[in-house]
Amino acid sequence: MIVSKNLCFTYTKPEETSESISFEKYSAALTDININIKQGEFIAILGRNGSGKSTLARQLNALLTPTEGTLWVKGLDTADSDNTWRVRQSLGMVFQNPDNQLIASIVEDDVAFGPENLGIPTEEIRRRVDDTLRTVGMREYALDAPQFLSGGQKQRIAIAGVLAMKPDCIVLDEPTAMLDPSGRREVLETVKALNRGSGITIILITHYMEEAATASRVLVMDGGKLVMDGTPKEIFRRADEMKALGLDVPPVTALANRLIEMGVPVSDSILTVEDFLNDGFIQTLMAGA
Amino acid sequence: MKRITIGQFYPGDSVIHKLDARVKLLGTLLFITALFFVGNFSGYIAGAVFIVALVQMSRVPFKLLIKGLRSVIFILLFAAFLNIFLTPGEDVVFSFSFIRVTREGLSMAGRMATRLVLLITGSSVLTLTTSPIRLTDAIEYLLMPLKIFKVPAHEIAMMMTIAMSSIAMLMDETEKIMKAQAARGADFETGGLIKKAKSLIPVMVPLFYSAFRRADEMAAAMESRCYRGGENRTRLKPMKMTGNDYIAAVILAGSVILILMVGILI
Amino acid sequence: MTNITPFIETRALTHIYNEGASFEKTALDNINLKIEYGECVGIIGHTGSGKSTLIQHLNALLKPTSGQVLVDGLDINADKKALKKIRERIGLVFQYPEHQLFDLTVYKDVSFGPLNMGISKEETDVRVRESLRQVGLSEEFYEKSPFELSGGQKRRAAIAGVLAMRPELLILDEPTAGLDRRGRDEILNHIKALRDEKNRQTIILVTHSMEDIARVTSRLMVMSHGKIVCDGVSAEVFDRKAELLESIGLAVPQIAELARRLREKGVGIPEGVMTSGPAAEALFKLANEKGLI
Repeated sequence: MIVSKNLCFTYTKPEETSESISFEKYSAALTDININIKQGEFIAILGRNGSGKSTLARQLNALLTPTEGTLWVKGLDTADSDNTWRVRQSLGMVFQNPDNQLIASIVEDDVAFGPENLGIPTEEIRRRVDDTLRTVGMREYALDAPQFLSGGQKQRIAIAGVLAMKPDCIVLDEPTAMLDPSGRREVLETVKALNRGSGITIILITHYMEEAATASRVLVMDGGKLVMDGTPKEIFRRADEMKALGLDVPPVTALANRLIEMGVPVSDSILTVEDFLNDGFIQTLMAGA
Repeated sequence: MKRITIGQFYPGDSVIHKLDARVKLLGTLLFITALFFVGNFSGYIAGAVFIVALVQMSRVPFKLLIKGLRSVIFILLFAAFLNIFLTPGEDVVFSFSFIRVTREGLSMAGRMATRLVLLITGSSVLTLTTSPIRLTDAIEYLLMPLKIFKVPAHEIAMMMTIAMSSIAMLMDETEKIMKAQAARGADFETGGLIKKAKSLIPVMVPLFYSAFRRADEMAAAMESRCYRGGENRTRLKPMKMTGNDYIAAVILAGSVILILMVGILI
Repeated sequence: MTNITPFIETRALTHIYNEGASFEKTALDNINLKIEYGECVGIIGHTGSGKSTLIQHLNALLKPTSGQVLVDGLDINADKKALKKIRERIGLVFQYPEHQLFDLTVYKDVSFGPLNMGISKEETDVRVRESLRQVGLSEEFYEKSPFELSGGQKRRAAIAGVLAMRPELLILDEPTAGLDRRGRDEILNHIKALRDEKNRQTIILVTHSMEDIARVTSRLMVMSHGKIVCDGVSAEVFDRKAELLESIGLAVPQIAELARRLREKGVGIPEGVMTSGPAAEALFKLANEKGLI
């Protein structure tokens, strides 16, 4: 689905344009990124601010293109401008700030924006809008104004807007950073359901380790490089390395790692409270109690 | 919380909401043009009746219109004052040193203010009942003939829509920033003109920054959803004139002519 | 003890947005709270639960629809002239405060508050230096443009801007929102340090991050639908009100939840354990006692 070979990117500030405000977030460089993501995977990308996560996301969507190396999305070279629109159609993107990505002032018009741009016939757009709004559980809000909805609902509309373009993959760039816990849950559950139900590849950029713990694979970025790549268990086991990178592990994983250091033989692949309670040693401890 | 209504859309399914946006846009333009030919108060009353009737039919709360007016009250007062003092006239009502207030000035100010009120409420009815996307479509359609002269009709229309839908957000943002600076002891109320202007710097700088950030993010969001201008775009709700629209167009045009007749002849 | 006037008090504080309109919304519903000098209070709740509305009343940025806000026993809305003084005493750091930075240099931006208060240049200089030190921004940042800083640094500069006013009560609205772990740690550590210094800074921390609460505050208020539904010692709230918190969609910190569930299964972890360090100690001790290791 997505393959990159020695992908490099350096941000050169266009001198001639009057870009006086620098949006440093997207300007982080990328060095020698090699990834291979298969259809149906659920990937979480971790890394501290400025590590290049957002820049990579923008590469995947051809909003930026490699300065060196190559990136293929569904076999299409993103650097080839003939491919741009097909790349963006098959790989949709959801951004952090819900207020700055909804274009229309009615929910269903906003969802229709993508398909309209693709030149889909009217009846088909109508069908897609209805279907995708149902998928994200926002059907009854079709005629509402997004500005009066909650953050979680806005993000679900943004997801519907991307889904209506029938993508194979959705990249979400910190979609929950501005939401409260229930909004975060709404968005995460929607995304998980899409991955499981429709087999859509999900690439979730996040700061929340609990979210990453539910992914099928975790990529860790630092200083524009891909520094770790593995299952959540493999990654979070390396708590010290993560800490050195300025990243957390889920609190229960930290607890398990600490216990292991102290010589308590709990499993080294605990990611959730359930994992912890079901651990063999903890079970013995409970039985003893 | 939301004080401004100009450029805001109030969703609904009234007759007015359902009307073809082109009809509404042309109707509004006609109405505004007519206002400039109307010179007497019976004409203005006719105009006001027309607007009240439309608002009734649209089921948009009147409060929203009044609130919209409240946010531009300074512009209204300013325009009125300019007219009071700058209109030449003979019939002096009041004078003090170099200030002279004439009957002509007062009447001109009154007319100007009424005209502005009608103009603003009239266009508010349009934006309150028409979703910005529909409005864009309508603007684009009406600008179409200019495409021969290489006028980017679609782009102009899109820019106008986004500008309008951003007003509410920018107002919110302004309020937020003003509060935050007030919490740091900023004072927007007292002092002379220069001090007041200076006190706005801590509001304007962050506001511009936030507007640019929004523009940047919005552009990326649009591009990532394959937006590439007006070429080959289709529509969820294509514009189609129905029988109702033709009837409404005739009624609208008729009403405007009536206002004109009342305003000029009576 | 009985008749001491509390530092901050609200009496039947109610706020209704758009009162009278069909879309009116009761944001605060009969809030009665007391906060004493030196306390560090966390307020949690959803977006729209009334947290932000509440704190904006405490420095008179919003006026109550009914009820009162008292500071040292005096109604802050009674005297318009006293407003400025109140805003100096009650410092409010808004959500995403970095969005309000405006001046050419960090130093100038931070001096905005004190200068507005009419404080002398010399005293302002002392305060600016101190508050920038308190948030961990050294002298090399003084002459930088606030827009050049990283996200976390910007936010700390913005917090310094309020600290420089030396407020008696510091209110922070979601100070860690959107930051990565390092940014979060830095901010929380600096907030904690404000409490270690001689004069314990009185703080209200508004957040929906339970982990932040667990790390910093001693007292916790939970808000839902414009009401305070729970008010108590943070650790006790997490231990005893877990169901209430979950019913309004707020999860307790992961370790507190784990500890509670272990206790339910008969594993004797003491109450009040909210972070992995103490939890590991407790489990280690237990395993040791049972002779399992």
